[in-house]
Amino acid sequence: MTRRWLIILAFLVAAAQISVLSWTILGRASILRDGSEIVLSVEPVDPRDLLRGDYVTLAYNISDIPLELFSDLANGGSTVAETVYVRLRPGGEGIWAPIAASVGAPLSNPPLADEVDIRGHARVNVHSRQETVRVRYGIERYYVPEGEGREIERNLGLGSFTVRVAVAADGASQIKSLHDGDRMLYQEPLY
Amino acid sequence: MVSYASKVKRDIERWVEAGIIGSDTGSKLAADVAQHHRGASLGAMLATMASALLAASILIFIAANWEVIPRLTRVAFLFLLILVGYVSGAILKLREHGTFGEVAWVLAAVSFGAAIALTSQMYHISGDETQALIMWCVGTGFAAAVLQSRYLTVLAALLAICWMTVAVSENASKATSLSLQYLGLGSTVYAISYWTRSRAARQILVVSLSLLGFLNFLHEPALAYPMVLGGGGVALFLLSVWKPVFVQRWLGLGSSGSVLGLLAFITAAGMAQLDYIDTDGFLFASAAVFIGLVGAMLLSGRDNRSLRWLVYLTFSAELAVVYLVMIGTMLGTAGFFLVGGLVLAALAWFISRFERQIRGDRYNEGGWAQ
Repeated sequence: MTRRWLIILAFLVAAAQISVLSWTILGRASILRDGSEIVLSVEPVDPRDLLRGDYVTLAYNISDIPLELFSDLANGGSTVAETVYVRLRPGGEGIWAPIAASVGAPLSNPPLADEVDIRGHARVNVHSRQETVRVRYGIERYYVPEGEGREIERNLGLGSFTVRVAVAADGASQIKSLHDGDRMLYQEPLY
Repeated sequence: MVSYASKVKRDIERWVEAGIIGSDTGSKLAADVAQHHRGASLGAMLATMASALLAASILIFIAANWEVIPRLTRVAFLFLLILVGYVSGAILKLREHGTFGEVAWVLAAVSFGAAIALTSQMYHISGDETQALIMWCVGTGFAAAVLQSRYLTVLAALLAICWMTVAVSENASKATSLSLQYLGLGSTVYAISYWTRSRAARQILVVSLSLLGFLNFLHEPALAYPMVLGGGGVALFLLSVWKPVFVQRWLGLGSSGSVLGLLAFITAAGMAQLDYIDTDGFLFASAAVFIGLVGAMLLSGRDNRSLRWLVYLTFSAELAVVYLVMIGTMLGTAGFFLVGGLVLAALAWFISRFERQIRGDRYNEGGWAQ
């Protein structure tokens, strides 16, 4: 390898890796900017992540979906982890609640103006006697500055907390802000 | 290799003193050994350790989520580290500072991983450890292949193994398909390692097969896993002993093939022991381990110090395990060890006679040659 080539290749590798990262960041920012906004009620589970710092684990009012909402599970489901789509509509006190759900592909009829389809992953097994399906949307963590995790978790146990979530057209979701009643605690900048 | 070089040098000095070879030939031989077995330089080893520390500091700094520095600045800082790391590594390589160049590349690749983690942190993405690891692994493997870097190949192998460990241990229901995916990913890194001349990466990947077998076995304790792993291990061992050139040409494992094969066999036998722990099968599995260890020692222990150490360590550990598991029936344990001890003693006596005979034959052959 000649002198010039190795340096050019090194530049190319750096550029490739930086582009991949920038693409991820821009994709995430576009969900925040353009996604439909929904409000979910939230309760904490427990914190800590070694590699990426402290976080609070969150569970939502849409984390457990009643089995009967899955219209296509009547004919028997599977036991593997699958992508699921959950249709939400604003309910009491402005909190969005599930009204229908499907496994594998989005619901056949498109959402109405005040409805949003959110995408998640679930382990679906209708043969067991479970009445709800636990769905994970990829927004179950809220990263906080080191040392603040425990405090937030304590406070979350006291009041009624809500999270505003941006949902993209393909169902990908992204936490926008964390609220204690009407007071906003944290808001996410685009970048 | 340092120990080999210094041993040969001592021998050369002895031969010169004894008048077997002339001092001229002696110094030529010593120069040749010095040139071919330079060994690891102390500076290179320290630089490698420094890179591990610096890499950890970058990762932990990002994990601390320090708010004094705005996150866009943190992202920019990592992008800069990636760029400076790769380019300065290339410059260092061209100026004959090979190890330092590799270290700079490793830091750049680690910054890439830190930036992936930072993105997850910025956007509160959960449940994607495996996705983040695979992205990091692919990015690092790509850099290793493009820059022909030995260290980056090792890093890519380690990341692939991390991904496999997390993915397989967390998804019992998908363990088989994930294992197959890992075999694909591992083979790709293995192929890259030929181009980058990284034997260490190949050795790590072969060791990881034992881990893969063990993780699958934990999910589903079927005897098929230890059978396949143990069979593969024995095959690798025997090939390395009888066809070392073949193993070097096709697997590129150097002299470590027999040790890696034995390691796979030991892991497999350990799995079988776990499976049979409360039955008579345990005794058979334990006997298989002891027979395997003795067999390995007889076939390859003479010329291979790492293999000897592996045998000694496993032998002692195995004694402790058998003793603890069978402690309920002390008489049984004592009986097992007694029989084992007598067989070994007989074997030792037989072999030492055999060895003496071989030595004698060689001496006679030498005599005729003169």
